[in-house]
Amino acid sequence: MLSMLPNWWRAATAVAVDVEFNSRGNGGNMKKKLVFSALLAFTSSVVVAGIASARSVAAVDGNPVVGAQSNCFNIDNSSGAVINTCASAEYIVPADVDTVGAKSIQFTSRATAAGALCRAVKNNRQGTAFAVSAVLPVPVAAVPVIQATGALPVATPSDVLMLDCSLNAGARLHSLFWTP
Amino acid sequence: MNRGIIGGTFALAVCAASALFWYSSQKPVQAPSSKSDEAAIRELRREVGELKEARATDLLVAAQLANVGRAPVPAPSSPPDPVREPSEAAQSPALSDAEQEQAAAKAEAGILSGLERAFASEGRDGRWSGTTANELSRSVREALPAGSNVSSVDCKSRICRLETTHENVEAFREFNTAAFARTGQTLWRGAVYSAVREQSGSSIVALTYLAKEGEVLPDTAN
Repeated sequence: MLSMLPNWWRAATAVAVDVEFNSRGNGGNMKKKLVFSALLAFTSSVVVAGIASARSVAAVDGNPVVGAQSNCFNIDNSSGAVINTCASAEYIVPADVDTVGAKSIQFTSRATAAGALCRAVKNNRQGTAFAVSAVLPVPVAAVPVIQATGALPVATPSDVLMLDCSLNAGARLHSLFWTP
Repeated sequence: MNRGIIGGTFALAVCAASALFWYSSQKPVQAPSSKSDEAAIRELRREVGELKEARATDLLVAAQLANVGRAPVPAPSSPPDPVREPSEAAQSPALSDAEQEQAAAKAEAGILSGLERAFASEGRDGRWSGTTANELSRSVREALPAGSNVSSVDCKSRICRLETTHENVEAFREFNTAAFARTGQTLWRGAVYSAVREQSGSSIVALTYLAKEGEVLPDTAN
């Protein structure tokens, strides 16, 4: 049965087992270590499998809605965040869609003053099935905060889904996270 | 949903670990003395050695692949399959554009039907519905382009329903842009679903459902 597992999984478990053998040679502790290593590897693989079905992008992958506002946004190269330097400017980040169903977008953002807003927007290719989620205020906080928009009904993978933000001066949009 | 499954699995794993830890701690710790224990340890050591070898081989192969990643590859005789991420679900056989549009139209009609049912089954909050319908009617009329009209506005306790007519799809899009598309200037801060219900040569009928702020529209996508 052990041989059916991927080598990286077996190796990760083996390292913990080996450390225990060499350091103690103690039967009871060895058993505990084996159990914990196996559980840790199992839990990690389950978590990784779940995350793999989601997608994330940095806000820098988006665009200003109004061309004239292109100069309003500075980019933080270390985090991929965009920072609005104008009094107010709109910014969108596309979230591609692979499957149908109710889709919500998680986003990370913060502002220096109240007034910045974000929401999810969806439309079909013909522009005849438009939906928006409720407006969410970008929190005034020292560190970025994760929020989730309301879910929008995606009828076909060709629908267009995006995060749409109206950012006031100093507001930052960091990243998006969604299940495509 | 996925988060729930992951969270549940994680919680189960933590519980199992705790139980096993407790079970292990109840037994006195003994040095391996019997011959069978020593044999088991030798067997485990051998397996650890094998695993180390396997890991080393994996690393070696990965390093080799990284080095030859840019090397020219012989052209395949037939076009390769498009690269697909592991997370992507297997897709059904390709549909023609017409079939895809039919499926999309059916799904969108289903969403509208679901919203219509939810609205029909909702009770009426007299105070909120009357005030909101009046305000909504006034602001929507201001956002309508020339040639478009409001046929009806009705609010119940959590959802409002708006029926509009437009000369063409372009006018419908113009209405949505003016009314809801700009986040900073939207006339409704709650969730909105707006879609064409009927389309004929001379006009189109559109339905818009608007959720009260703090509420969500019913999930009718599935």
